[in-house]
Amino acid sequence: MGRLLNDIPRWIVIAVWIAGNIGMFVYTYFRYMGDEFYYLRLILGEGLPVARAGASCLNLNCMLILLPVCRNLTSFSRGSLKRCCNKTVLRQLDKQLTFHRYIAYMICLHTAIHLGAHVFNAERFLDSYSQPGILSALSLLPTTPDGTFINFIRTAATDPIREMCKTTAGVTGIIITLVLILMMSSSTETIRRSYFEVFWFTHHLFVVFFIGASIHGLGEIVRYQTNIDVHNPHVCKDKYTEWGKKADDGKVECPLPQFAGSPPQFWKWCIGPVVFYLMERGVRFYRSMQQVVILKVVKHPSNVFELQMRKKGFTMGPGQYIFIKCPTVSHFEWHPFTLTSAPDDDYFSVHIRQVGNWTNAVAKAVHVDSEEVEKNLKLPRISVDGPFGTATEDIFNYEVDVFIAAGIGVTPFASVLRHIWFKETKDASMELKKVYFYWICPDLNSFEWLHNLLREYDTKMAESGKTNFLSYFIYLTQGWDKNLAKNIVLHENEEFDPITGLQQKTHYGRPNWNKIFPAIAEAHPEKEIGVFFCGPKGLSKTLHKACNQHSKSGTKFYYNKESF
Amino acid sequence: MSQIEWAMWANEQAIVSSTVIALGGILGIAGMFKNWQFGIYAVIASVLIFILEWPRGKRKKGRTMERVLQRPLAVLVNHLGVFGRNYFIRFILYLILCVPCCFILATVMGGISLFVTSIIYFIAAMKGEEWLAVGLDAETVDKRRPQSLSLHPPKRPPPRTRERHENLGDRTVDVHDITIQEEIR
Repeated sequence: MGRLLNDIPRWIVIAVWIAGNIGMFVYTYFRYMGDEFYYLRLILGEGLPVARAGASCLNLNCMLILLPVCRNLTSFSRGSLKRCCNKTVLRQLDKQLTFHRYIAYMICLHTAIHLGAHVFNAERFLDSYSQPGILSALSLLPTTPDGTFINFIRTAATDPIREMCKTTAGVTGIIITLVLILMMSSSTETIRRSYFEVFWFTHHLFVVFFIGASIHGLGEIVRYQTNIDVHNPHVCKDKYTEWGKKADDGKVECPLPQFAGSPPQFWKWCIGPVVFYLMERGVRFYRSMQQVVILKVVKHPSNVFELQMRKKGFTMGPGQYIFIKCPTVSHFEWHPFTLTSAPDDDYFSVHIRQVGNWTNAVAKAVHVDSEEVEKNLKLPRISVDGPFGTATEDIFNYEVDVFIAAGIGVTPFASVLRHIWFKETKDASMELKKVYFYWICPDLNSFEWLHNLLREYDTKMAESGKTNFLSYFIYLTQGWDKNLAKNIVLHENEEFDPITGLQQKTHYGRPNWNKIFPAIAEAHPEKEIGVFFCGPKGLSKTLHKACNQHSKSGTKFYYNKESF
Repeated sequence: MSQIEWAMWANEQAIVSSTVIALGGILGIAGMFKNWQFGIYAVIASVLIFILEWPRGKRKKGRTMERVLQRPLAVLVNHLGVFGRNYFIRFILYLILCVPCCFILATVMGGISLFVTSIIYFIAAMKGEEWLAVGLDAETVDKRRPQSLSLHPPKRPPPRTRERHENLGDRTVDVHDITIQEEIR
């Protein structure tokens, strides 16, 4: 039930958006069923209202798609809405990229509808020349020097592809659809995760998309009738041979129909978000000019290095993330990193793993690998944007916290644990009395830096005598081979774990939640326990079920998913 | 993020292109406009491209995410030998395939999209990339190596002495110990 409640605002947002799309489509569809489009519909059939309805939905979605990527805007609105809205509503702002993706899917759908309908329209425009009767009569307009036309194809001896290349709408349409296809193909998960640069650069073709879409309608090809008051198409459509001719009584019953193009609409929809986006880029530019001092570069095992930085006026919460740009490496690329320092530190830090072009280049720029430690080594300029994401203060609402991290999901907890530790040492009245930290990981390579952090805790706790405050458990799910088994047996009676070098020994296999939760409940009867999880969806479900299942006999588990 | 492998993007682009061509082809056939027969060509071409492109090639570094049900098609593409492997051949093939698509309006968009695909494949071929089957070689490795020699991690957790946890003097019951005891039993 709690899960459902957590998700309700999201479903409301999605439902409103889908309803908006349907409403827009239906409204535009029937608008183009009006009399001023009667003759155009005679030529084009259903293609006209369908194409226009698709276009108006495109306007709507192109307006929306820029908003979720304005991270400073969402961050700002989160800050200003903090007073009036509750947390589940605010949390929707963290799902901005999911919404961005949904909107993008909708844009693709409506592009397909719009494109398909216009293919039919172009073919039918040309085809109308060969149709006898009113269709060719309409296409042959204007028949007088001051008359207006309805069919943008001015001759029968042509083919639709050539005609399309002559118009602004055709050329820009091809270009922006191609741009959309490229953006789509390069933002699939494989490309996004593995070759971020490809994704990043092709995604910036959106500039071409927006410019192209703004001038797409300049040709004003969709033409409506301007004189339905004197020329009723329902009455006059069968008398097309007598259009503009005087009847016996000297009156003109049906004057020639006159047409005019509809001006482009796209820019009206998108000007607002584009301005927001430009402001966003302005903020990012301003931030990139602010000075960030690199205090320290720490090299950790497994190609991980830590950057400790300081910046004027930078405040953070635990579990937030920042974007980093290194102009000496690339002027355009901002990369997101979870903050690993606590708000109480006098610096902020990130841990960066050297895995790709960008991270390797940054490592080189900050001289991670140079052996000699020289004071006068020149460090590059670094720009920082952020912090973003909801900081969690929920952790302090419970007396007992259970943190569960899976794999890389551990990074926000580094900051959270530090923060808690600081608070614990300073603030004696803190409600939080006990923290359990579970970390499930396939292999422990590349996370040695976290062991260092935990080791620090070990010593600190031993010093202050608060050995009970934090219990951490590491689960290695990868299993173990004969060599490792020997190693484990050999070191069994030593104080430190052979793999992590920590006081608490590593466990192998997956944790058995159905044993762990009752045990925790037993240890803390009649208490409210907060469970915080960061990691994959499947485990989240299991944990949520376990929380509900074991919330009996006074002890209650409150499940918080993805709150970081 | 590792070094850019262009073929990976080309592969995604090809899948999208084949969808666009297929949609265009169906529209062309449904419209029955002049030269609608090219619509039939487009549908057939898109199916061919789809079959060739659905199995994702192996990445040079790191794990490759396979597509759903890609194995049987990967076997097929693997059997094509150099025609399945070489990206230069794909570049030429798509360059040829995209030409007839540009003859009717309905498939023009797909044709242009396929043209871009072929260009990306050209870049991939120039960088010396080639298509390698994912997952298929794993089975051959298993065959070569008898089961008894391979080091499979044991199913059970290693034994732990009980005293360690008790002398912590913690009010908390060590739940992991229970887990282990349970499993050993």
